[in-house]
Amino acid sequence: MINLKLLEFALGSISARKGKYIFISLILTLIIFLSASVFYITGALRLEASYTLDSMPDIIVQKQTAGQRQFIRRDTADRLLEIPGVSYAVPRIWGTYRYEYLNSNITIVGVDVFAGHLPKDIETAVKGGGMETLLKPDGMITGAKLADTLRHIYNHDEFSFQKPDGGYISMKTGAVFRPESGLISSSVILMNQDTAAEILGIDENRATDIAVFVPNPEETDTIAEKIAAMAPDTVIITKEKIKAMYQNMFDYKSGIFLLIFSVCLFTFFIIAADRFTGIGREERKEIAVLKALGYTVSDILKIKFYEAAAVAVFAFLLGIFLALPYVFVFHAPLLKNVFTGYSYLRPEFVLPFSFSVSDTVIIFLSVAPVYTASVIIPAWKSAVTDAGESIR
Amino acid sequence: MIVMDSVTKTYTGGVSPISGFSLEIREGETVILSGESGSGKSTLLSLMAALIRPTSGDITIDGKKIAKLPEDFAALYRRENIGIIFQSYHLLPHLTAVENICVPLLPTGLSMKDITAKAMNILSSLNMADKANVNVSKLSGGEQQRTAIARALINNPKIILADEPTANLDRKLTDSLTDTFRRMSDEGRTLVIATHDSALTEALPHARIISIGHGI
Amino acid sequence: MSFLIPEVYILFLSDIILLVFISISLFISAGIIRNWDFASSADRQYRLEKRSALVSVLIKYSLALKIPLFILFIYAEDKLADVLPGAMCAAGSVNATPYGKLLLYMKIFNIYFFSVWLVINRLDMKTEDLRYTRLKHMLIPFVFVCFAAELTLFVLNFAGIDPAVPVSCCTALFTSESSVFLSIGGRNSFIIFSINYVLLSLFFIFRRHTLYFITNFIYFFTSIISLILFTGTYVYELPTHLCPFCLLQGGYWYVGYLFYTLLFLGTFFGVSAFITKLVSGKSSEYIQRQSFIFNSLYFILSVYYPLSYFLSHRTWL
Repeated sequence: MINLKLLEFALGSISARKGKYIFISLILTLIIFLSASVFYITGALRLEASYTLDSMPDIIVQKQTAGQRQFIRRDTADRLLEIPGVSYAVPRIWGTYRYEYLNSNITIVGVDVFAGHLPKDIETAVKGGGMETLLKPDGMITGAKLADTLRHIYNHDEFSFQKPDGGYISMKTGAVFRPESGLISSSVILMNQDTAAEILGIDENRATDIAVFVPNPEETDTIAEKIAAMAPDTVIITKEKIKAMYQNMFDYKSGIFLLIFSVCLFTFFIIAADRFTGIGREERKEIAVLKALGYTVSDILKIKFYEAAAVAVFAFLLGIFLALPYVFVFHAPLLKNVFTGYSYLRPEFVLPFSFSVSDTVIIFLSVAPVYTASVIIPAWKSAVTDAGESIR
Repeated sequence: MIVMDSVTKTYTGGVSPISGFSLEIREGETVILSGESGSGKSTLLSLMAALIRPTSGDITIDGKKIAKLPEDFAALYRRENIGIIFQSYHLLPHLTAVENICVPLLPTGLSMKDITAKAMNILSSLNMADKANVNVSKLSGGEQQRTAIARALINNPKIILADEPTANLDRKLTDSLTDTFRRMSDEGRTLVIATHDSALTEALPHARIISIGHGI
Repeated sequence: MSFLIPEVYILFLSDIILLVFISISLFISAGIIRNWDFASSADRQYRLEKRSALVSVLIKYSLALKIPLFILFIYAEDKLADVLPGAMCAAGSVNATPYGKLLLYMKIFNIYFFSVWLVINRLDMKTEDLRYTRLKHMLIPFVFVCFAAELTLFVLNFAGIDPAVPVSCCTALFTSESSVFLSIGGRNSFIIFSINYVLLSLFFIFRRHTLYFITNFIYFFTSIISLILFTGTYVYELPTHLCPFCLLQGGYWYVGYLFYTLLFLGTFFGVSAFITKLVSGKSSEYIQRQSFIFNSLYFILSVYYPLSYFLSHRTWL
């Protein structure tokens, strides 16, 4: 189907008229670069979210009265364990600690080293020598990046937390842990459950929420209904719901971006159509001569499409080639903030590498129809140039 | 070979350089259309090449009516039967001589190797083989013209149409051009040359001269 | 809401471009239907000929875009299934609104329709007097209406999808809703499909073109029914899994794309042979043969799965 001789001819005429194509190639490259960056960032964030999801229990039970979150009784876990299908239920103690100096939040997680079903990252930290630290009332395991930040500020591994009653608890970093997720690494501190409860102001017999584990995912919804019937003052969150929420959130965010992006595309369409329409006298004459030499309308159209396709392939490869290091080596300065929101700790947050073929195909499809559309009418216009113009 | 039967061509502005024109050219004949510029010579050539369509009348070439051919059929007709030598050559400046000559056959199913071989053959017959890979913008006027002639011959056409071929040539080059025309004629091709150069007319004594003035 | 999903958004954007192009075609076609006069040597006629070439290019482009967009549409529906509670594959999301199924059918119909138009266009370009130009432009208003219908359904469908409302999974859909359909039974559907194929072969061998066209038309339906009720279950190796969409997933080596491509090519060439005969009065053995080859490949693939299952397990499902 592809006439290689005409393709070569088309490439020749591009290099003969570089000026005409350079501008359009650059704009197209920029647009593909932007589109690719957005898709790669969302892909990376999605991967980041999946780390969080992996460590999540199947169901989380929280107490809520009068529309306000409350701490839940720890013994609720024992009642939940009696529901058939539930393999394990455990109260969790965690919460955020406002750290004014950095104008950000630290997540404190109380770890019961003897409990089962610990999230993978925490389990690794415990097994990797963190057990001792977590048994001490003043020992903490700090996320590697957070530890770095704190060391920069205080020059030693101690940190004082202010309790809700005004008193202070001084904690020592006994170990660091290195989770896959940059977000966890830069914001989480693990410590003894009792100390965590003290810092967060949680009563002895209360917990933040209860994690419920269900081995058969098909039963999750039924069990969630049973819990709701058993404890009407609770909010029940299933892993599935969170997954769908994440998916929606990322899709909508990139969708909103695409909406703005389409304005760029439209502008591009106008510029490109204009560029391709503006064939000079020389080019008109050349086409008239080709037609006099026996080129049909579809031969000329082919040449025009090959020219356009060559520009597109060049711009596409260049755009992708630039977007990959921009996102994964330089961590997408400026553009990332659109997706994550800004805070002092988060600049440290690294986008995990995730390259997906389907995303790359989608990037291509987000630009290709508009681009080819901008080529089509100008190509027709030059293809129907009167052959009679060659002799006149 | 070429039969024109009361052909009229009226352009959009209402100008009719050709009106009720009839002509018959036999196979292998050399015909010179002579006349001042603007007399309709170029229009006649364009009509014979099916580059434009007549407003009325019939044009039959080799038994095929070409007056009403749709564009694509006209293009295929030219590709198979016609070689055109343009007044200002109309070579593609960014290509070499041999590449220029290959251009008419690019859309066909022939392989690049075969096309290039053909082109090289024609170039050597015109004593241009050593210039084959030179960019045409670096060729002299005479060399450019020979390249243009070679391009007109690549499809081995039955009919050669030439538009003011001596317009940019000096005496010596005109002589070598008339040699080439004679050779084409000897090969049995039908030649139609539009010119107002009397030197060319004298150099081709076997040619039939058709004078075109206003109002034919 | 779901317009903001990148895939849906791209589909929508591309459809808008196509709408513009088909509108341009409609405008040109109107002029051609009114003023086409091949015998005339007026400038207007030449202009119309050039514009007619533009319509060919635009419709060619539209089809060239519609095919990858159709695959993207299926992919988007498949992806939506991750978000919609209860859906396991595209079957669930296609049924999320009352328009989903119609949209799917309309998209398939339009791909055939555009292709048929291009067949007529090709015939037209082959005649020195552009004999079918008026005919092909008379069809453009229908192309426009069909496309507009597709676009309307698209908007209604994707605007109507509510991620909070649970939908059914494929097996539930194909076992409850279409009970008439199910009552045929897997084996019977395959027998009907096989008889259909045998008839098709006979009509091909004895060159009964009209009858071939009719059986080819029915083949489209019997083959899909048999794919859902019979062959599909062997692909899934699960007699209760009735679904035309799961085949398209990676877990089954994307074999669905092969099935549907073969079926499209076979039936399309069948229709195309008939249209060629109908328009030009001449039948094309070449196109007819293409149709038969692809339809046969589809049949072989449909037999291959059950047979290889039987050979390795020594039992039918």
